[in-house]
Amino acid sequence: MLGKTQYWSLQGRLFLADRTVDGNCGALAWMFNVPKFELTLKTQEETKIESFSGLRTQDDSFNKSVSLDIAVEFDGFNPNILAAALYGTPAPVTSSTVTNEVLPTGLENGDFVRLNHENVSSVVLHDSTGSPLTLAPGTNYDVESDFSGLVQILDVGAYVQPFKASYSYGDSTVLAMFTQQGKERWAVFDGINTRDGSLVKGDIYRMKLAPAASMPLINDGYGSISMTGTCLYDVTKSVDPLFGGLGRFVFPSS
Amino acid sequence: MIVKLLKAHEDAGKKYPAGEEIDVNEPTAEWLAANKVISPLATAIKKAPAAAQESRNVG
Repeated sequence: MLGKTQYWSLQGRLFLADRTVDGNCGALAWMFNVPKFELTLKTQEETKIESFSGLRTQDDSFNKSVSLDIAVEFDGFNPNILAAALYGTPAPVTSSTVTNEVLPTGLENGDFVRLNHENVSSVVLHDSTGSPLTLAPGTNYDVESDFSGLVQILDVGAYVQPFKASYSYGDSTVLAMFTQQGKERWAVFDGINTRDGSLVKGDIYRMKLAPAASMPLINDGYGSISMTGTCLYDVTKSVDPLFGGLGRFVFPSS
Repeated sequence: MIVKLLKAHEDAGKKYPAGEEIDVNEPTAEWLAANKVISPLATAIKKAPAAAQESRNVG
């Protein structure tokens, strides 16, 4: 008897990790709320129709291929999840300071300009006269978004352009999109059968997700990112009967 | 005026490490001092640019 048969309705936490160089599971990151994590096993079958009975019946078949596809939906919004969705690599930016960053020329009243850094403070604009004059905050310009580093020009006055910005910027994390190829990740599902509270664990050794088909940036309700992918065969695990080549589930002994 | 940076800083698109001496105009020096990127102006200015030095001598 392998275990007690029971009804089931699963929930759980999905963790993803980079694979180590020797094909094992690296440090795991929790993927926050994942309302959908679905495996689809597909086989491509070739059949043989016999030609001797006079009925052309199916005489044999074999699987030409077996694949394990994945559909997953991420409710969370953070650099790790976006890195998976957008093939990016999170990179830290350390706080520092900037002076004399040249703004675009020909600015007119009402224009917005983008500073080169985010999370800015102590923003001061000077003009380009020989002895630079200082523009007045609230009169000549306004910092419209501290975090995005957006400044609105309120009144260019008689100041000489280009204007030059001086400011401090704080720590942040940058995620540049498509800075790496699709990465194989180890997935761990830390699951619970909500029907009776019993536990289950799942491992997928080489999960490769396609980039997110869409990433809605304006949301009426909660936002989420849907992705699909596939599980690749891990030859380093396949000979171990406790692992197999694609993945495994682990149940408590009854 | 030439000032010595107390921390890494970017001026006019160029990045400088802490300890570097850079030549900046007066409003920039004031901003750097106010934001503790250089010492207070009275002690931060290492030397005056040549042109300013000349005018001071003439005056």
